[in-house]
Amino acid sequence: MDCKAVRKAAFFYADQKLNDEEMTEIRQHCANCPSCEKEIAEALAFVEMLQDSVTYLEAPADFNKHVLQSIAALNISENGFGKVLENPKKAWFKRYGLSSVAIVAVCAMLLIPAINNAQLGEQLMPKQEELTVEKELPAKPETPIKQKNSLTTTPAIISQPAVEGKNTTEPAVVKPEPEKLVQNDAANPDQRTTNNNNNNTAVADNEKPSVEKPITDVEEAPPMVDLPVVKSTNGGLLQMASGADMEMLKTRIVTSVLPEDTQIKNNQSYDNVSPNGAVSLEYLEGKYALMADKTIPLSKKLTGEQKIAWSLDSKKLAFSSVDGFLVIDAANGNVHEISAYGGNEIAWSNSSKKVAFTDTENTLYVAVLSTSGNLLKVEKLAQGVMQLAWTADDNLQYLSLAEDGSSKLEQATWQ
Amino acid sequence: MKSFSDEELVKLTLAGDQEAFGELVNRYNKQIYSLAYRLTNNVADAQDLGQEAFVKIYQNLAKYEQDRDFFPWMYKVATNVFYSILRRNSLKTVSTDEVAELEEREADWEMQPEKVAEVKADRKILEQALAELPEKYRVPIVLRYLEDLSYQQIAEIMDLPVSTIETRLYRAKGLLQKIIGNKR
Repeated sequence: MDCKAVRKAAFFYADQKLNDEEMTEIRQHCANCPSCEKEIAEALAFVEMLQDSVTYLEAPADFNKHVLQSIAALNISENGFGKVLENPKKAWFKRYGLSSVAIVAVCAMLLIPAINNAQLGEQLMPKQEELTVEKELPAKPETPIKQKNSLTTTPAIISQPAVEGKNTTEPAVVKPEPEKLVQNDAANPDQRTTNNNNNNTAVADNEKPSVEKPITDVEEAPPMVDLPVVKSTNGGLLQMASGADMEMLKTRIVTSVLPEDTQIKNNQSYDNVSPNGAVSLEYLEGKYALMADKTIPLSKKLTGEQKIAWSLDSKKLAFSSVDGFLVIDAANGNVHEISAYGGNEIAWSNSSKKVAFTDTENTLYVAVLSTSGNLLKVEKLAQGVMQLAWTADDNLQYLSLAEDGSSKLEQATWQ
Repeated sequence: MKSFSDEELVKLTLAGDQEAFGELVNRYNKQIYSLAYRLTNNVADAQDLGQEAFVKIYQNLAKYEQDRDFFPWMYKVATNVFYSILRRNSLKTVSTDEVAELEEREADWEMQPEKVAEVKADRKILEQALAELPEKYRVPIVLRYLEDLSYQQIAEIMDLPVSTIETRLYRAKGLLQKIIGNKR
């Protein structure tokens, strides 16, 4: 090893990153070379100084308090898009524009037949089946209930909520009479409000709580951990489930028609930072740019109120707005125009080669992309699509809503 | 709460127990705050960054794979938050001229290592010098000497090859020596 090599290696010697053989070589060289010996001594002193100086510090006294306040504020904020991921159900509500009130309403509808079947007798069933979400929320026009009736049309197997709402009990069979379902009428205004998730034994036909009561109760205690929610739709069947093991309602609905061992991970990232953390989409000086080791300008200016989603391989970023659906190549900032329609749901396939998206009219499209994000083809697949998820083997499943309010789980097929 | 493992605390947090996350903050505030401070050399910025990191950790808890150790995952999330913010801020605070000058000095140092002054600096000068390092050099230095992470671990956190980390640490050392030399 010559002087140049020793000086080059001095830092790694001091940092103990050389192997035994290299360390020995340097020591042997220094034994006969005072200038290199000095170089090594300096390097050792420098590393020692770094080790001594770059040490832990005590956080300021109010640091913890500020952190927890930020998190508390985050939890009560209604702003943001899919940000509160620690609470899948809450994130789901935000992401799909459903308020907790709407979900309560859906649950209420689903509960009522079960409750009444158990306690009031089958003669009440036709009345219960006439209930709809719209009737649940007459005074909340600002609430975006996109999924009106979406989960209400095919009650067949419904389970009672477990005591304490923790576990789903075995489903109790209720008469499946989907063809009798009609849009709401004013027939039984009081019946529609008798949902109280943990209080099913208290419901009787002479108890007529006000319209607001169950809604208010739940709003006081989000995120409704104990509420039973729809677990699945499968060939016209509905099941109820509840408890802490519930994942996103969306995921449950879709996974339910798959074999037990099939997993759909709802691992879509809506963050501006890619899943591998290497690249982020930032808004700088009035325009968007990608940030990696350096700033990567985009080949086209992005506009519109957007929703973004990274592909799972972190190589592509979907940018969806009312102006259209774009895919950005994370490597070079090239913006690929995929469709003139967008602005709603986005779901990347597990392979990151396909991306499904819906526009503001809930029309479903699927784009097939090259590795760099070039569009290979895009197809319009269906209308009235509310929820999307990809299976592990890259099949697209979605929940569609027909004009009569009925919903159906379907698997997309395309050439 | 203190008797629970990190992983148990994560589960409790996900089930809605805020106190459990409070314990995680209590457990790791020193690490996260220190990292933020070493990267910013400024108490107010470090508080903001540390806070932002914990919020991000909280938001991403559902993505944490519970069969893995919590600390490395948490540290990586925090580091990513710091990158993102530092990169954004570095655009505003460090002009390209300044970076170019540092790169030039670095090149100069590499050409003439024998001219590097003997470096003995007190802690304050070193901290100032660290703060002046471009982020791509500062981060590996801080991770290496604050957390005693291996080059491999730093490479994983920064999503860069180990060889790049080696190069950056090597150059960081040269730059630090240069900056310290100028301050004396």
